Amino acid sequence: MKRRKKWLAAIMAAVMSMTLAACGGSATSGGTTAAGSTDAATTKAAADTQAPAEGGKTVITLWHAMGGVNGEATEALVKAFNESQNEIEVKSEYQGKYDDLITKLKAAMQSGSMPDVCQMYDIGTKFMTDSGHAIPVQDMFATTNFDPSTVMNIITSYYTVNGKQMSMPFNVSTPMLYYNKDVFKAAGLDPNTPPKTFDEVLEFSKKIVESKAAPVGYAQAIYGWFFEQQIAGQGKYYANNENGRKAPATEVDFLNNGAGLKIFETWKKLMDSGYADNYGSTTADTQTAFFSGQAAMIIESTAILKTATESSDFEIGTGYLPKIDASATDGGVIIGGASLWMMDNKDEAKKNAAWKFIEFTTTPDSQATWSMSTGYFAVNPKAYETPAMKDFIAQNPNFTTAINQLKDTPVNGYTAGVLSGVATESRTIFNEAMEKTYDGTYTPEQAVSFLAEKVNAAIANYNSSTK
Amino acid sequence: MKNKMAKYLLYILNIFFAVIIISPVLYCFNVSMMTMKEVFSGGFWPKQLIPDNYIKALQLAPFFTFIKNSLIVSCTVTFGQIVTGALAAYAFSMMKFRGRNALFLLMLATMMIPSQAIIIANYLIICDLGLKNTYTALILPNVASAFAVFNMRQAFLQLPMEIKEAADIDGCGNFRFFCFIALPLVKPSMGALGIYTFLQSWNHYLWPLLVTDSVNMRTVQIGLGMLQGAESTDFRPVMAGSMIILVPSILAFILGQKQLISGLTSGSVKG
Amino acid sequence: MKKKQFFRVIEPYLYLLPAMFFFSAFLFWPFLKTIWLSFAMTTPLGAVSSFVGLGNYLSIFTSQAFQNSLFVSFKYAVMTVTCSIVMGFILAIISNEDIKGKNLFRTFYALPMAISAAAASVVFMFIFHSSLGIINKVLGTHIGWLTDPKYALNAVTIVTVWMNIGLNFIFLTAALQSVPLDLYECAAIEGAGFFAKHKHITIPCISPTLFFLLIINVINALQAYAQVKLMTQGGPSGSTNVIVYQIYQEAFMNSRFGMACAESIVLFIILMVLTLIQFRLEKKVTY
Repeated sequence: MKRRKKWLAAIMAAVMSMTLAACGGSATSGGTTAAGSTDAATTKAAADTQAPAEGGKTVITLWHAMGGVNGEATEALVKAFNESQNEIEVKSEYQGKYDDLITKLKAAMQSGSMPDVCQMYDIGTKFMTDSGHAIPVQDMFATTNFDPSTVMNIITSYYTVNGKQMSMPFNVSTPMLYYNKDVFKAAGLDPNTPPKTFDEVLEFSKKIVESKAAPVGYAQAIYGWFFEQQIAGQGKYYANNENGRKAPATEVDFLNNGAGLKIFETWKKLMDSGYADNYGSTTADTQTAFFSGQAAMIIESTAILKTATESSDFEIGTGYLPKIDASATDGGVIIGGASLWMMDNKDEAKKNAAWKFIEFTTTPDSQATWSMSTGYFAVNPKAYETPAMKDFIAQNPNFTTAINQLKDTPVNGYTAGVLSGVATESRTIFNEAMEKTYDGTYTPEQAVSFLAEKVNAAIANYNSSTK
Repeated sequence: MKNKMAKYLLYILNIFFAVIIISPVLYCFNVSMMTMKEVFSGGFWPKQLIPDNYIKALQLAPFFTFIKNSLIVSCTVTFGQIVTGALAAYAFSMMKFRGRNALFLLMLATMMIPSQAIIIANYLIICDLGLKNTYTALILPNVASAFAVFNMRQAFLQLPMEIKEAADIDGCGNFRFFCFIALPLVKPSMGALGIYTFLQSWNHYLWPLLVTDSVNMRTVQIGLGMLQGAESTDFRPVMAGSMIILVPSILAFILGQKQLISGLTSGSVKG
Repeated sequence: MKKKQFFRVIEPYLYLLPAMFFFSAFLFWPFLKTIWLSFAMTTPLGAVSSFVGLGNYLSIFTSQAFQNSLFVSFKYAVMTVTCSIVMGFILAIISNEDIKGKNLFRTFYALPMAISAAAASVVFMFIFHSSLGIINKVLGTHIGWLTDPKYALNAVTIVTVWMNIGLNFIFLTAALQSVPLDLYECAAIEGAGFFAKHKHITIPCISPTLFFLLIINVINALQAYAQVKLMTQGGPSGSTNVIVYQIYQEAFMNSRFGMACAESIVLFIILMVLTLIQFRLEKKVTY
């Protein structure tokens, strides 16, 4: 009996000590390699990522979703800031892709452990604004005499709500047309004249396929972002209340103003012609089709230019995003990507430090380096005047297409994009609507109705849950 | 004659299936050796064997730190699940007590709770305990699993009743029987369970992402995520990274395999 | 004497204690929270904004999307469970015989388990690509494996089966080790052939493991979402929108956590019912 109890106790002790041993491994607050300390206090202090000032420095954390090459560029930027002064140290932490980052931020908001600066993708703007945990960057402009015109208007318009700029654009992209110059030549098309409208896209695709220059003339991923772009391209609103910027949107506008229907009709016609193909909703698959020479033209983000050049065995050409309606004069592209938000941790020193870092990211040198390493736009037009950038553009003429497209876009409520709390869901619904249009389940009219109905329901739900 | 033909057939079958099953892994390795243009030219074999993508992968994410962390977490979790699982399973299979079936069903029910529903709640528990960014946070929720209990219960049930009866007659206590007779007899199951649990833990992504912040506490799957871009991805370092984190998993399997097939020599009722 | 009696009574519960402690903290307690949230409408942050009683559940049962996901999940589960177990069994049998290179084959068969869903999805995206992919090249077809509603679910099934073969293989191999050799010897003496041997001896002997694998595979099939998230995002046209992906979408992409909790409860109940049915069958079928 006694022996049995002893054995049981031994097992319990083993389990407990195993758990305790696990407790012993934790990150030290200095961020150096994990040491095995069994001190519970250190564990607790280490768990607090917002460590107190080290040697007099204010330490702030940056959460971002930049992986791959962009991750390296982010680290370089943070390093440059840290080395440029002695008062502030920024710790940058990768938190997964955009979807994972917002999940983590939401959880952090609930547990009171937010970072000081957080990158958030474009469609997260309404969520951040409504959350009450963000400090609008415009509130900080006066503290360092920051000139609001440092960043292009067309770019800040996306992140401006009720006349106030909420966040600082960081990685900015727009969609544009990529095409295979070698295939154009083989098909008898002028390699320096990309199509400007979808009518021309169809015409060019026909030539390409019939001349056997390439199996597929045109392809585009099933992606809600492209739909939103084409509504802005027609100079129309996606949602009411001026795209949700004058007052919260309560329903979509693309059904009533006919812009949605035109898009579905144009794309369905293109797919039915047999000269275009569909590679699904995973953008990487459409990119693969282009890089491998299968599809001669695709639309994609300006940010993939570098990858495209390195992956393709042919000369790449770029053009403006093709328009649905050539006559729309106040249409243009909407910027996409992400911006930097200041999170309210009720700490004055950290607030100021966070702003100083954000301001640093907008300097011409920072933006020039960032843009050249990642392929995103430089949000500060002065960055294009730096010698390094000038050289870069001279060597990569395709880069100017994106810059010019942005310059040629009018700044208005259409191109500011929709401010919606249900953008992710709207894009998912769009995917389904588009897929069902392609396979014939829906006519374009039915598809637009379906999309409008579902998105309206989502908007209503969002509005009632945030009352 | 019949035997020889049977043997040849077995070889052929094994080779056939092995090739099919291993080709995606082989393809992964091949892509990790390709140049960017090669990836999109549609070939299966690379034209050269270059370490560039591995170097790039290690540059983009500190895989050795991640492997160390994942090893610590996965080994502890595996040990914990086997211990708690075997103990509970022994009770469910060899002992009679009130509420046995109800408790077993209750425990089984935990396997049916979708993780998405409870992951945020668990994150908040960890935060409240002040355990963010520690190994404990990575390990704690996974120390016990219904899968382990269930698996070990089936294993114990497969043991002939005569052994327990003989032990009872000899006056051997439950715990003694458990440690020195029952457990050694289910080594193959423990081996299989160990492999499975280790690999499951190795493949976790969202939970480590939520409860750790700094890069030196992260685990291998997050490392893979760090290699992928927001708009486009160079897949070669991703494949290289996958290969890098595959190595410890293979080692785990080789270790577990020994347990897996040890049952061949352990007799049954003869002792 | 009384002490001994007392100990006898609580002894089993002591064995259960470690596991139950962790289950309570990290599974039961959050699950209770899930039940509570399922009756509420939540803010985008996840806090309760108002209670709607059975409102979420009613929306679920009238929602076409959810009904579709039930159907898709059922199809998917049937396909993956049967293929995974059958393949695992075949592989376990053929690598259990006395042939050279046995260990190498075994390592190969278990290897897919070591590849995470993320890595596997990336590799299979390339393999299934309609123009660049190996499968279309080998078969000479131009099928959109991931873009055609007719094929997408099959493609995702193939990936899942590939990933799960290892799991079934190792547990069946372990189970095979415990089949008493003397039974095989008797069968050999009586002149039983390869198939008869396995039908009459192997399968009955490993039936507890087969039963276990059946339950595990069903639960896994109804909880797998990483492959769907990375390869098809529930499409095309909802043809791969399994329940768990629907839950993931609702919770993390649509930010309707209350609804996601309600869907989780529904999935939980479905799994419980299926498992109970299987346990009833166990009594009749296992050896």
